[in-house]
Amino acid sequence: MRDFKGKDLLRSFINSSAFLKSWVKLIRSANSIVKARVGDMGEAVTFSPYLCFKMDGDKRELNALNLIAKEIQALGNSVAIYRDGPFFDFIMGNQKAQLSNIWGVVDSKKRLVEHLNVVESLAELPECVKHIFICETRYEDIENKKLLVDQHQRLEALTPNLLIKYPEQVPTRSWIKTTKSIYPINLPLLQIKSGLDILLLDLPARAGQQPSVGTSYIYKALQREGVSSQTIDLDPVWYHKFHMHRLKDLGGEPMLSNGVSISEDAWGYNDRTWVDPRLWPYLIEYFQQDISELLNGISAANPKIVAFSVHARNEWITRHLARQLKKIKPEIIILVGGHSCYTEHFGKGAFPEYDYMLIGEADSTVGPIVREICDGYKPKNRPGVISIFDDKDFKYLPGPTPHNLDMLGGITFEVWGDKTNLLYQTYEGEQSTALPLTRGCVWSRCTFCAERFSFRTRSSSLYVDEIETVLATGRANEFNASDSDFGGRPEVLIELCEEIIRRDIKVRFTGQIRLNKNFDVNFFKLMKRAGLHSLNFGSDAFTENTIRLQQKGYSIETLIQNHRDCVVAGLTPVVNMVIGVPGESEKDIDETIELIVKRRDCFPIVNNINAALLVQNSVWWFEPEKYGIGFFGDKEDIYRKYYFGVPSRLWYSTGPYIDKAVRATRFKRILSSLEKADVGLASKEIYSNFNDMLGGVGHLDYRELSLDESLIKWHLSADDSKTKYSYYPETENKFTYIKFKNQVMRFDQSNAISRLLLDMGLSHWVTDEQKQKSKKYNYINIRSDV
Amino acid sequence: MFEIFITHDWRESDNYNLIVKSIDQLFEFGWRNYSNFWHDPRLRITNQGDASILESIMHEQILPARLVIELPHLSKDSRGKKWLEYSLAVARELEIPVLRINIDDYTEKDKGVNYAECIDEKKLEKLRKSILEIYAG
Repeated sequence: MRDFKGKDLLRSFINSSAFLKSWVKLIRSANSIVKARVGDMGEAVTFSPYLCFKMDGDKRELNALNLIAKEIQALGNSVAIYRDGPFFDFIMGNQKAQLSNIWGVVDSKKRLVEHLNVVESLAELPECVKHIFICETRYEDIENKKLLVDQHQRLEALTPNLLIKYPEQVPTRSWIKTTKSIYPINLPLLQIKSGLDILLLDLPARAGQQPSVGTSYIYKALQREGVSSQTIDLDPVWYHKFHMHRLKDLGGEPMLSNGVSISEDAWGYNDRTWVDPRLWPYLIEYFQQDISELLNGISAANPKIVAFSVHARNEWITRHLARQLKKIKPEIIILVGGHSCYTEHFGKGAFPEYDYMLIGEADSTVGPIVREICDGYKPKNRPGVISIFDDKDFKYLPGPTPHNLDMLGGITFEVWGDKTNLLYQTYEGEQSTALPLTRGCVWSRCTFCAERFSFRTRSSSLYVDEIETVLATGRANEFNASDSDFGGRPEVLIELCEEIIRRDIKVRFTGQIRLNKNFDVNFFKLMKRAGLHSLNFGSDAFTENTIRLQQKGYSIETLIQNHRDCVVAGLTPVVNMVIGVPGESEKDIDETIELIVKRRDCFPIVNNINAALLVQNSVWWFEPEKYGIGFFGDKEDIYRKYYFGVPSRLWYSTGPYIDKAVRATRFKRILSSLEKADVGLASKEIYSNFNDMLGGVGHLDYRELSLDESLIKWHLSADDSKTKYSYYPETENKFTYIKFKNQVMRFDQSNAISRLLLDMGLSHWVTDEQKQKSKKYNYINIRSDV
Repeated sequence: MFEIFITHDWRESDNYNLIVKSIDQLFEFGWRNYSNFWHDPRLRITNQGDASILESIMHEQILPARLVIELPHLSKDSRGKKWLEYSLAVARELEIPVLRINIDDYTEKDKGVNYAECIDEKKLEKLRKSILEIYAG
């Protein structure tokens, strides 16, 4: 009884304006604290029409549908419905009677609707129509149509989001966590020109959101050749489509139809989704709508050549698209190049669907070969190119290597023009730009490394010019040199830093350089003054023995001195580790751990740990016997099958004996020791690599899976008829929803304040059961300026 | 497109860089340079087995060329001489015309002038004409 009285008094106090004023005052006086408390108590949520309408006719969504119909009906003859996707059929199928008095429908396909007017475009709507209901549930579709409606000033766009007015009457699954993002943004539509000589495509998913360096160079080569070309980098467009759907429709990680989630950091460097061939059919299914749009667009535009930039993370879609194109347009020539085509052997295995493949750096080869094809020839036996038209006895000839990087210039902003900076940013609005200064590696001796090419550098002044050009577009001042050896010519790096300082350009940048005994504190201080914030020395070995085994070409003294000087200069050095190399001992592991732990003043961050890989083009690959490397099986057979590199389980080394198990054990020992000593482990890649080791897979194993016969058949049978991807999470009835003016907040019911509000009748359970039991809802309204 | 091989001995040299810059000035992207002097550092030039690998690589570099530019300064030491003779032999075998350029005709090194700047228009024109004549047949 006493409790009841207490509640009654409290209820009357809370309902009074005095309560509201005191609460507002409290919030104003301790804004930050209150923010933190609100954050502790609950979270802001967003309405998702996509999750609200599964379109399977359950009672909850029909109720929501009825509310929409009522809202539209109330507008009578002044409203039309914008028809495109399946939601129109669903709403008309269930609410036809209620919608019989509206003006009609806008439908680009002009499908007839009983008793309603139908026009093809918004411009054809009569003056009496003032409102247009966008009949879509996906965020991206809604936003695209809103942009079209906004072009007609007299029209007001209505969307399923009008249900926000009725938070208690929509399915609880409709509420998703609000995440800060740059959306909505105006994504470009896919428009492929007709009559092209060549269409150049870059498909998802590159790591990082930056203008593509490789595509830039090929774009420029095609411009120089003067062929009719169009370059479309779909990577950033699909990136934003993915995140819009994730953040605005799903409120969580999208799930493939086999139950595997695509991580929220799918475009991150360490994500394995794209390189695991077992997932490729499911990825194709997930992106089917976009793939079909692209395929139809190419088919309609009918270019002579379709060119793809191929790398490990986009083989899944690029190969699929090439196969599909060959089915519907066999006359289109498929031309490929890119990272997966860095040698002819590698390229043939990584992308067997080619007509022409440009091997290695294609700046000098792409133009002439495209010109010949467009002139009606079928060129064959060309240096730097492999082709299905080559003579059977033709032995591949290396192509000309560009010697003058200054002539080639830098990245281009012309691919997306004025949309470049909009597209090349993360969903949180972060921008950075990869600007290569060099190509190749001046050292090229590290035994495990496959990035061993001739070293060339651009001039410092032209490089700094390019920085200024990029900044002039309004892009953020964060740069990275994605080179193998940014400092291959230290004098160029010094000039570059001095030039940045001289021109007083404010930038932040990072890069990878080799250790060098001639570097000193002053060198690093200069770099710091120029805007460098961190350096990766590629110092993969940390004992005298492993430095020698890996042929790193530095001493322990230089290793420590460079890192210490770097720290003294105010830079953050990061290190990588390669472990399990032939000849390495347990003592090396002990000494490595000891050095990193004891000298964490010099080695504050371990960026990555890799178990040794036996990859094509490495020193080990060419002379395995010299390094005590043996194979579980016939070497020639293994090399033939595993053209890309030998899977870890198939090779070992002696003196002392090291196989996959030993590599994994050493990896674990190092990782756990560094964790225990609280050494900075910066990258998720470390754990991804470790998981690969424990899980029995690695980069090479992923690639091995693409050789699996059953998977190949599966991929080849992948077609467009697969069911559309869908994702509707089960509702968890454990939240309380409270509407603050225009924002709905979600509170965990275990929260004490949430329970109190509930007891006071000031909020409500939004489960079906609760709804059925009670039809009375109250809301706390707080002034919008709070 | 001019397909050119410039003789080299797997080392960068001022003369090589000068001639490459000069041809860049003349033809920009209108020529392709097959003479990549970089080689895998695991190959030792003095090792007979490795040298034969390098020979086959150089052969592959000369094969697509339609003009070999001979830099006679290479013959000043034994290493340069070996690779110069090899490349000229391949050119003869493949019947590829050779244009000998006495680099001293094009430089004023002794005066301490930067190489890239010291090829005047007259000398460039001479080089252009020579290349065009050979290409014309």
